[in-house]
Amino acid sequence: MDPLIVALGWAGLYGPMALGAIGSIMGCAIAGQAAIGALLETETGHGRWIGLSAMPSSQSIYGIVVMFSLERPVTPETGPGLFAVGLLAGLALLASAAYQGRCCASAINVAKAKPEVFGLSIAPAAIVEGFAVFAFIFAIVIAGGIPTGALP
Amino acid sequence: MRRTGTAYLTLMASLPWLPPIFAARQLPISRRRLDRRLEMLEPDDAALLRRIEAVVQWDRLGMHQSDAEIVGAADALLPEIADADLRNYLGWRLEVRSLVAAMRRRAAGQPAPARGDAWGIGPAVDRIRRHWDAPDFGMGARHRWLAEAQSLYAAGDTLALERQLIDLVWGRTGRAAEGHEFDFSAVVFYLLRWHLLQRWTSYDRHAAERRFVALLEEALDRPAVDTLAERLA
Repeated sequence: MDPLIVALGWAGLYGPMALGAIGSIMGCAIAGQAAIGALLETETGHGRWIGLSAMPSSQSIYGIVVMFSLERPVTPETGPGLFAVGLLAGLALLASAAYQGRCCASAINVAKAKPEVFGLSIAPAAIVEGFAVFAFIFAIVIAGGIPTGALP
Repeated sequence: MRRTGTAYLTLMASLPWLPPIFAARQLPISRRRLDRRLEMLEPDDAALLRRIEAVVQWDRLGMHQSDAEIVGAADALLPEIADADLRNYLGWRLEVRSLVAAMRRRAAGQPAPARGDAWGIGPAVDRIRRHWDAPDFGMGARHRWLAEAQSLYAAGDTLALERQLIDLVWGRTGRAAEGHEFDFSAVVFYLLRWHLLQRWTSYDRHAAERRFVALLEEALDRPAVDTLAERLA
């Protein structure tokens, strides 16, 4: 049983980073495809579209920080906590990045026709980012409750 | 096979915003540029889009096609539409066309079509045929626009009728497109709305041409104006 718990512990340790990165890949690809389309239709402001399409990158960074906050010897005592916190934080980061990508794509699609609403159109993506920040911060806070562990 | 939603992101983001139809003075994108953007579609999507266009747009119908062929093409198309919103919309659109056709046929004094005649499209065709003598063809509850359309047609106000029908279809297309931002249905709804814009703005162009010729008549001699009018036509 112990090897399985330890394996799950390692998955939980690396989970926030990996799942956050997967989410960022999806989100940036979604927003990036929309940005490329907007380049065809607009004469100016190309940097804004590309910059906005990079917004879902932040979840990878949050994932890295959560991973370091969870870092400790992976033992049968620490494994369950690492798995639970790491997996759930990672899933939250993945979902937020993917859906933020869709928000960014919609913002690009609307703002290319009506540039004056560019700032407002980013608001939904920023709100989604807020939930990613919640998941990130409270993962760090709750990581303090996982035993620090000591290698046998 | 339909691709996932992300495949349409670049295409939809590359298409310009379509203005409110009656405020539009010109098309935001020409057919030539639109066709170049639509080249981003996969071949099977492009083929389906062409079939939808051929069924829905009158100007895309071949002159050599019989009514039976047109009805057959539409009946074969609808079951192939995977998205329920798009399928329902196309069914509604063809039902509207069938009702307008019925209204015109009845006003021309024609009797109800025989059972099995290929004259309209959709499941409501038989109902319309059975209620041929009812003012609203038994469809008034589902198509509330019909009463006004009939009074406009009876009054001979074809421009107002055309405006009413375009407004009706434009609004319904916009509502059907809600929730479809980056998928195949979004492309279809965009193209159908573009066709409506093209139709309305082209009417304005012809009016401008007539006005232009009328002004020239005042300023120039008649034979030169006739020649110009022929060239414009």
